[in-house]
Amino acid sequence: MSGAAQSETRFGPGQPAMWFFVIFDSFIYALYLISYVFFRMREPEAFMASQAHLDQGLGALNTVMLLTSSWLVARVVSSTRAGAFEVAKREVMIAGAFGLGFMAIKIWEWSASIDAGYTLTHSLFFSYYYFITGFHFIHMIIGMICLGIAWFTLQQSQADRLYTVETCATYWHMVDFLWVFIFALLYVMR
Amino acid sequence: MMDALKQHRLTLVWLGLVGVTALSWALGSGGNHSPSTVATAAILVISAIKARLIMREFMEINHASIRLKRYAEAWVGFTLTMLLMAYFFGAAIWRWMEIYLLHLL
Repeated sequence: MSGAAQSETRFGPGQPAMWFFVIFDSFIYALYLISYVFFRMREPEAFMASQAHLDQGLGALNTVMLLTSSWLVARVVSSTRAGAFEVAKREVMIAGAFGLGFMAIKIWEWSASIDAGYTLTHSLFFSYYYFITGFHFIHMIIGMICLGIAWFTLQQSQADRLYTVETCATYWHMVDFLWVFIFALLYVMR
Repeated sequence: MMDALKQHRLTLVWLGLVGVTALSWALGSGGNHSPSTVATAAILVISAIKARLIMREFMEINHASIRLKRYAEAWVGFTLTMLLMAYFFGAAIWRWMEIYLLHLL
C-alpha cells in the first residue's frame, strides 16, 4: 500500500482516515462560513463598518504565506517520492517557518484589534471574526504538529515514510484551502 | 524527469494562486468599503477556483479515487452555491422571516 505512490485505486494520498477527517471538518467549516454570510446579510452595513477595521493587506499577506507553505508541502511529497529526503526535510522546515510567520501575524492582528477596542463582543462581525480565525488558528497548531511529525518521519528510514508524509500534507492543505475562503469572506467581500 | 515536470507544474499552480489572491485583494479594496455585488460574486468564485486548484494539484485529488474526486467537486460546488445564495437571497430571507416568523417567537 505505502509503496504504491501513484496507485489509481487507493482513496487518496496517505491515510484514508485523514481524508475522512478532512471531509468531515471541511463540511462543518463550510456550514459555519455560510451562516456567517447569511447573518451578514441581515445587517450588511454594520458588518461592512466593522470589516473596515481589519487590515486587508495583512489578510492578503497571510494568504500568500499559507499558499506558499502549502506549495512547499506539495514539493515535500514530491521530493519524498523521488527519494530526496534531505531536500524534503529542508522544504518542511521552510513550510513550517511560513506557518509560524502566519501565526505571528495573526496574533499581532488580534492584539491590535483588541487594543483598538474591537473585542469579541464589539459586534456580530467581530464575534464571527474571532471564532472563525480562532478555530482556524487551532487547526494551524495541529498543522504545525503534523509538519513536525513529517520532519521526524523523514529523519528515520522507515519504509512507509511517504505514507506518513502524504497524510500530514493532506491536513496542511486543508488548513490552507479553508483560509482561502476565510480571507474572501472576512477581509475582502463587500 | 517526471519529478522535474511535476515540480514545475506545482510552481505554476503556486504562482497562479498568488496572482488570483492579488486580484481578490484588488477587487475587495477597490471600492473603499462600499458594497459591490459584482466584486463579491467574483471574489467568491475566485475562492472556489483557488480551493479546487489546491485540492486537485497540491492534495493530488486529480490522481485519487473517483469517490474522493466527486466529494471534492461536491464540496466546492455546495460551498460556492450556498455562499452565493446566502449573499444574494439572505436579505430577502431575513425580511420574509421578520414578516412571517419572528413575531411568533
